[in-house]
Amino acid sequence: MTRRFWSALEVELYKAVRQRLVWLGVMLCALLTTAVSLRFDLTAAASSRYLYIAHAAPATLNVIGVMLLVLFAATLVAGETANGTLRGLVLRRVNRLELFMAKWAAIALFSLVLVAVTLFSGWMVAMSGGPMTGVIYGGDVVFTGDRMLKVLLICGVSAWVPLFTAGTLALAVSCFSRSALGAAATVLGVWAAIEALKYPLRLESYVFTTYLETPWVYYAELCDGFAGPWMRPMIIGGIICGCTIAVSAAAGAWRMVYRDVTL
Amino acid sequence: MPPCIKTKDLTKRFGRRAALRHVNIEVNPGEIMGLLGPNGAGKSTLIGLLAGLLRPTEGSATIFGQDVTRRHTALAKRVGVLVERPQVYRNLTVEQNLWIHARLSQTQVSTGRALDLVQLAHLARTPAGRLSHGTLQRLCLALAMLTEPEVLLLDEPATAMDVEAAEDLFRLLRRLSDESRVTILIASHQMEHIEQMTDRVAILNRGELLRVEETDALLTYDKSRATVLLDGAENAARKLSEQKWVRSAEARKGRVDVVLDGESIHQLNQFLTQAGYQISGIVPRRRSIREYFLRVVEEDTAAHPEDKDDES
Repeated sequence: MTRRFWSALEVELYKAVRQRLVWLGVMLCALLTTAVSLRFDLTAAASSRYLYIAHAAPATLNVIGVMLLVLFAATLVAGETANGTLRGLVLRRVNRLELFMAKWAAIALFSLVLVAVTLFSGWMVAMSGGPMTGVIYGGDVVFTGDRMLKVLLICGVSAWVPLFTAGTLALAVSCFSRSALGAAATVLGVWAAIEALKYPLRLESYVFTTYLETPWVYYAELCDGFAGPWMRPMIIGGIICGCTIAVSAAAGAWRMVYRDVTL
Repeated sequence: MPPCIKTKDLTKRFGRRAALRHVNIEVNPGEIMGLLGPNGAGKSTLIGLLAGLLRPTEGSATIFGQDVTRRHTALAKRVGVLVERPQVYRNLTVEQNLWIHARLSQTQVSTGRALDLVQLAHLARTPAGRLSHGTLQRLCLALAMLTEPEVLLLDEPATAMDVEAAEDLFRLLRRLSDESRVTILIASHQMEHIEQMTDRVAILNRGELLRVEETDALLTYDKSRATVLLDGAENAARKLSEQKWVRSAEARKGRVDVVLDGESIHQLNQFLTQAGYQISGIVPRRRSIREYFLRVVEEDTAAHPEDKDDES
């Protein structure tokens, strides 16, 4: 089974690197991250350079990142169903669960690449404004440069989890759809509805989309010299995302295994 | 020798509509079986079920004794599938498409050999999106033949192809069958090709299997119908029409198409010779699968008018 899964993943990655959407996504993330720097004076204090990253990362990942990931996930099953290529894949010596897992792993990797590109380009742009010496207030080093870098990496991983959750949800919807556009529109529509209703209905703590912001709010607070509570929101966010991932993946896998692939 | 493909009470419903009802069919190793039926008869559903693309509602299907749903990964290498609609990545080249399928097949296969087989080696680096429909079907045949399967399931492989491309495809299939003794189950509307290449034909209608017949047994000569080539066709037709043992005689461009009352070609020959006609030839009419197929389907549809109403 492991060998078949790796072959399927290899094929998914082979196709992904030949997709324009993937390269467009990488370029857009780097460009948008760079563009946000226009709103910040990067040559001022080092804290303003960290603050730029705290704003640029969510601005890029929570808008462009989510949309690209949803589109990418939509093409993986619904897109392949529409153009008939899914039929060719399921006829091969790989079972449908392995195929689903390979596609799921491709989403995990793509979301990781988007986060990595965003953070890397943000860090590079910030460094172009001056040295990343840490957060200094009144001549005192409140948080060292090393600590800020480590926390940034942790925030990156923490931001990846809800992003991957969005991708998993989109993949599940993709498994139930017959066209990539339909799947993407459904996910984005549901997303917009959740965003519009979660605060009036006081459901924000129970919805994974809320936790896309959480790490960056914490990082912005560090830039102001204040280390706010992080453990509790991160753990709750992790649990909410984990539950959403589990339910979405189970539904998507069930559909993939038991669906009829029409000729 | 046990059958290579076997279905037992195979049934498939899409919602309340039964696309296939209790089909029992057996295909022997090395045999070529044609699947005939009007649109919506259940041919594609049967191929889809055997290929493992669809899940049966009831019954079972086995290939080499293995259940096609439960043992899909074990069978995938031994079964090749070619359907009407090409299943290729149009943004990738011919070679890249083959690579993807080879990788998923988990076997060391030669993509070059598969391309040579369908004579596409010169287009290896061409994006699949630029190929004509006929060439795309050849690529799909290369994909189906990639693992050198022992069974080929073909669903309308030549639809939307021009005559020449379809002829090429069927010639290739015949060659594969002759050289490699591949078992082929083919659903097609192209009766002349079915006549030429199949050992047996199965006729489906309304999701039911109506008949399974030896192809050769259907292609006999009908001795009650003949075409007579002779001079003075119109005069001869008139004289023949007056005979009791002739049902009808029609003159057409130097020939007379005669329908006899019984198998009396000998009597026809004698009569025309005695009447002084110079006969160039008498050709008894050959029965065709098309004729047989239309008759069987017509009888079945007439016997089940309620199903016709459902479909409309």
